[in-house]
Amino acid sequence: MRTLKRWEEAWNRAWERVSRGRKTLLCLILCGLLSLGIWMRLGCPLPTAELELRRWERTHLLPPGQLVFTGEENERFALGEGRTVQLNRRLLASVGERWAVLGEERTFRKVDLEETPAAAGFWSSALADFSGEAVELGIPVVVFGVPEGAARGELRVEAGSGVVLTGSGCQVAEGVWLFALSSPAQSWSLSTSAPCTMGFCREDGSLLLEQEGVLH
Amino acid sequence: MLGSGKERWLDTAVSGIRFGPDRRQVRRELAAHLEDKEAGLHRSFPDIPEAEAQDRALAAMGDAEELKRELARIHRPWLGWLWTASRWTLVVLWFLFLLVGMGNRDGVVERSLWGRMTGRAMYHRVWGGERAQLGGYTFQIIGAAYVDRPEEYGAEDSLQLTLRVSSPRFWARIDENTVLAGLTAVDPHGGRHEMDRHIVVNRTDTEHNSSYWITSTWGTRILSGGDFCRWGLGWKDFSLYIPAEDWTPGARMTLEFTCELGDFVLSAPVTERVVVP
Repeated sequence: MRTLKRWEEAWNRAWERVSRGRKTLLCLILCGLLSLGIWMRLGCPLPTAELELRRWERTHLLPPGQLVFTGEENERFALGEGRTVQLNRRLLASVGERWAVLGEERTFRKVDLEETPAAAGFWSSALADFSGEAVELGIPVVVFGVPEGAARGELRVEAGSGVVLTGSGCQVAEGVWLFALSSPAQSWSLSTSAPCTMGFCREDGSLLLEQEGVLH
Repeated sequence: MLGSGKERWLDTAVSGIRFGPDRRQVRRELAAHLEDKEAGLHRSFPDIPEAEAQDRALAAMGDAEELKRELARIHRPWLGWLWTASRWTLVVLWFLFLLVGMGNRDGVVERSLWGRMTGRAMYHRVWGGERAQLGGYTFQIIGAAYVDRPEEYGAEDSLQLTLRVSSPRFWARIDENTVLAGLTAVDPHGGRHEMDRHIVVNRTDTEHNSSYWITSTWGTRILSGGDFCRWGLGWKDFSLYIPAEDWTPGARMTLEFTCELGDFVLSAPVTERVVVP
């Protein structure tokens, strides 16, 4: 106890001799370290979705992909035939040589694109469909590698248990289409490998492409 | 009044100090000096009137205006405000640091500065192991051991390498699954073992009571495969195991890594034998 008291007195004497400028500098350094610690405890959040995507690509040892779609929360998309959907959360998609990355807020996943066009769904009801009398929840699906000349697109996914989800889409980038799958009964989370059929028509209504596959 | 002259002198002397706490502190000190001088005068001249003692003490302290200019020159207000603000900020940040991360335990690795997975260890540290650079990360072998497990429990021995993946970008620690999926370990005889799948051995006890046999599993050891074991600021460690068949001290264990960005090969001699329970 006496040793502790002596140490405390020695510390107080030494602290009194330190100038106010040095005390302030030390305080600011500690503030910086604590801020860094708080940022790390929050999971090192980055200010933009693109920065988050680039970090995810780096930590998964992927070369930077081309960002082909970004949708902000509350952003609306016109899917044609009077249909409008609004995103409930931030979404983005990027494309590499043989893969794509889908991102929802700060969660990302890689999708291998063995053949194109390839459909990949986000994993929650991330959009609201205002087309009908009531607002319905829908699941966004991105299709990569859509051939040039497509003017209209339809997607059909067999979600299991006899449930079929359908939706129309719109082009959001060259070769990239966004579809909104909706089910009038309730919201669904899509599982990968669900069978799907996608069809694209030209401006004159003639069939451009119809293909069956699985949802990635 | 007797005190009014002293009060005016003190107010004038400290009026040049713009930082409030310093102004109050200096005023207290000057007032104490004045009282000491007055007390000294009363001791030296017991019959001196109070007013005269105060006037003499004030005269001895000097001109109030000149003292005001000197004190204003010494005391910088911006430093005082910065000092106060930094102390309050430190207190707030300290409380925030304690509160943040206390609730949500999801993603505990990403939200913690360091830690280790339960039951996973590096058995023998190696210094100056081979290293490779890929994608902004440094891959280095930091441990190599022959893991000798007790024979009586049927556990087989393994060779263990510990691989550290580090980066100065501490906010972007590498993904564990990416590392294990790309790693293949090659034993000294050329056998290849994928690190993203485990072959384990279980330690079991079998006992018989009056009616039936009871087999209980009370320990699992990795015979072949990789595990994420520890992490720190900017690095993650992985323990990689392969079966130790016909091991001789100094036999080399090799790691081959492949990913979209490239590939590399690292190897290390396993010289140390570690007996584990």
